[in-house]
Amino acid sequence: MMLEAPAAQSPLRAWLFLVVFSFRRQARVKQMVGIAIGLLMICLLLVITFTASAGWNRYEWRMNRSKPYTVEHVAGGMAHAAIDQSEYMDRIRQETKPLAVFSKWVVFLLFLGFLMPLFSLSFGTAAMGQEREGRSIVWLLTRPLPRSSIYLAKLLGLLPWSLALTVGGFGILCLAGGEPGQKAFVLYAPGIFAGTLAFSALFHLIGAMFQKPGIVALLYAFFFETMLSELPIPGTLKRLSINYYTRCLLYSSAETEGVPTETSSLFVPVSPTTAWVVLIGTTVAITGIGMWLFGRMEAKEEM
Amino acid sequence: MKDDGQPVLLFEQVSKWYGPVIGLNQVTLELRRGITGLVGANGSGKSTLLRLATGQLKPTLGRVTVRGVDAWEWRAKALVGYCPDNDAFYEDMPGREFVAAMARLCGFEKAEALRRTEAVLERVGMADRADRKIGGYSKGMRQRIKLAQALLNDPQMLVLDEPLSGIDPIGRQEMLELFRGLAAEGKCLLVSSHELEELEKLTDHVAILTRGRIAAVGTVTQIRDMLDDQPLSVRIDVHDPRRLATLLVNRLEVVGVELEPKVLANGTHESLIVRARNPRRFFEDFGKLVVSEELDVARLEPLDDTAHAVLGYLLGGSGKT
Amino acid sequence: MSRPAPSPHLLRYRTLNTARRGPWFGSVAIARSSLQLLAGRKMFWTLYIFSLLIFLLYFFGQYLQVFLEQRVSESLVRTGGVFGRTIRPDFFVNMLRDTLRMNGTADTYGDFMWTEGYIVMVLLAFAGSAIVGNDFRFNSLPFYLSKPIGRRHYLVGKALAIAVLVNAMTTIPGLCLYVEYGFIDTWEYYKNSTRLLFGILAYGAALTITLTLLLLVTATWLRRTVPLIMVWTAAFVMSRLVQRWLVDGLGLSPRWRLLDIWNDMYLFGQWCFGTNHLLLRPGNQIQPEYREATAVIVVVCLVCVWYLSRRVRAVEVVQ
Repeated sequence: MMLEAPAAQSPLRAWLFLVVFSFRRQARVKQMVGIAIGLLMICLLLVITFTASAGWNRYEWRMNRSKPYTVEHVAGGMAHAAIDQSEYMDRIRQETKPLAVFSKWVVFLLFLGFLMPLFSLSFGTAAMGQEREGRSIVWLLTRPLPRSSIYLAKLLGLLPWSLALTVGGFGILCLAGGEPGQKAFVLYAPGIFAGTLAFSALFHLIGAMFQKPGIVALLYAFFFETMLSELPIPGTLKRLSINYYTRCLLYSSAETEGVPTETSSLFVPVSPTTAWVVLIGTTVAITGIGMWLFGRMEAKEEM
Repeated sequence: MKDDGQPVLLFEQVSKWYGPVIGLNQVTLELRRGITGLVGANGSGKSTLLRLATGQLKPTLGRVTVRGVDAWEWRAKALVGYCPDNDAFYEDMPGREFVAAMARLCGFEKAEALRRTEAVLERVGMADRADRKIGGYSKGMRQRIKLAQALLNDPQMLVLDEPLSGIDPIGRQEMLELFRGLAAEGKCLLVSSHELEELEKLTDHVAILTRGRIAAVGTVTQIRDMLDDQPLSVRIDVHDPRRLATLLVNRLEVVGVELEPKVLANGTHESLIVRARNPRRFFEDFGKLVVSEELDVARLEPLDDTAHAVLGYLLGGSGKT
Repeated sequence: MSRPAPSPHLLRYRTLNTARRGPWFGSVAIARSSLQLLAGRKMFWTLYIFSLLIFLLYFFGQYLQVFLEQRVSESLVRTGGVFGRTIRPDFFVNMLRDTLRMNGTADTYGDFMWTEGYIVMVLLAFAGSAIVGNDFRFNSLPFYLSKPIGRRHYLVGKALAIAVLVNAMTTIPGLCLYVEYGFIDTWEYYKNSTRLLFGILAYGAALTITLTLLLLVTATWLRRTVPLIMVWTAAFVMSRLVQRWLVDGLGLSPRWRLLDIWNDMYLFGQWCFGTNHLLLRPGNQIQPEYREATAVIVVVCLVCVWYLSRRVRAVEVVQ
């Protein structure tokens, strides 16, 4: 059997196949997908347990703990109204609302502080990093496809996974959280989506550029980002972190429902429009830079 | 296949540096149809040359083109089939699926990709064994799959990096037949190997690479003749250099002998520098002389690296005599 | 002319007459080569420099503290305005000292070793994949096991290398801070603070043993860098967030803090320093009992040892 007359080779067709091929290759990284789902399940179990047992309304618990009306015993019943209308009680009422409790601990702490960066990091760095580590990247680089298009195809192949696990995982957690969870999903899903896009683009770039991308990304996500976006430090240095803009989006959504956030003088949030522009712009810019760099980069043999 | 006079692969004064280390040094090479063997020891620059030819590396200086297209450009890759030395695969994929995926990545429609997949698998003798996962393949089967994917786009040039390594003798014969068949179709094949003996069965046209330079190009006979005409200097550390000098002076191929005072570790040995006109014959005679005269030779060191390497190959070694 | 007689020396063979020193020396060699492998990586030094930055913060922080105490106590500060008054600045300095605790106390060493947590986690994730995971992934284990050593010697060798790394980032800098404060203060400090010295060594030992065992287990189990990172961050970052949520957010028992292994080691360290449980910082976070934290560490270590002993006994280490 011989190969006959040359058939038409279409770079576009090859590129579209590469997108699908990259998506399918991500599924083969079973260990990583398994761990991601495992971590999500642990969080899900905690949320379900809490929803089913104590519930998200923490007013009674907070009142029992801080006992603001104790003064009444001394000052008499007249003090009740004063205490009831005080700023302190307003804050307690706001902070103990089911949506506020769910937002603070599940969304801002657990999801934004851990699951979202970790999932984006894992899939983002693995797309190109595993091809390099496994030295199978040679099969892609010797195909008749522009290098920059290979970079873009790999990113498009990983995004569904990254988004499915972050936005989808977030949806599952919210669903398990009952009514406040469902409200939280509507409020925060767009912000989570934008943050995931930006993180994935950044970690994909790290995956393509560094020999140990996982470690560099880990250093960035849990050292640099944590330091800049979460710690209450003044100044505008935190504006270099993706997490900051994601938080700005989430906080602004939260405020529409009266959920208290960290928008203190130290956090200094930007407007939601600015945050959207920065996150989408960052995604596009990082992808563009990655395509440009990868298009000029020689394949290095991984050791 | 048409030959419009344009070389299939052209290296023009190509140098490649890896930081301070030079991988390839001012290589000029022109390949047309037929098989060319590329021989060199480990680290001689073979892989660098092949990776430049397949557009995986960019030359630091000079230019590499495939049919006039810069090898780094993606269009050039449509003209090249590459069988790498590296044994990395998507281990969890069956061989057939892998080759079909590579065909789709060449831009063929699905039906055409599947047709070509079957054709190349048939050609490399893997059609009936390609449904198992690659992870379970023997070295020989992996080599065949690599070769199959290189043939998918019916390339004008095939770059094969150690294609016969790990293949059993019968399979090796089949592969050699396949390469000859491809050459007969008018394709240009660049085949690298450590062993000249292996390449000699396939082609008479070889390029010998040593320390990043092309040391010799041509037929094996041409290279041998060229080397015979070029005197070689050899340093010999021996117990009694004067006696050896006397014995060597009478040999026809020896054109000069010089005593180099050199005290060795035990304080007695010295060195002798011999210039021989026909190195191949000189080494054969010298070996006999050492045995018959029971000479205590501590060291034998050719002083010309390039000639040494070429000679190593011609004597059937691996470039390190 | 006499001819030299052909001798066996011509063959240039040399018999190995040196006595072998036993397989445990092989472990030392494995540890040495693993550390050399890491030392050749730029990434290792980058991460190590990050850990040194934290050490330098404490190192110069202690000097700065003493410097400020001396300088400001020499003069009074007068505030401006109509109601300007004189303030004793040492009041502020003391406040700063109480907050930062860079004063050669148990809090100084405990806080320092706790703060190193994130970077220790990142560096160990790197080291685990580079010196253990790669051996399994690239099948270099047979290279070690073809030598006259067993699998347990191999594991001990790797464990030694990891232990050196952990100590280089925690115990040794901790000891340096201890020595430094003795020079800043008086030499009496060494005599009066032997408990602190014991605390640093014991806390360091707990970190070394636990982290080494945990890393060996995760690296031999997962092998690849990214899954290793995922599990490692889950153990150190997620557990911290979850315990905060459960205890501070939901008001569950402080025992839930035992989920956070880094916090457990901190508690063990404070126990060794002799810190009163009621004075643990931060004051608004109620912590589980010292002995409970210690029990968790012991259980974790035993589980790791059990897992590793199963791996060592396994017929096929390399899949």
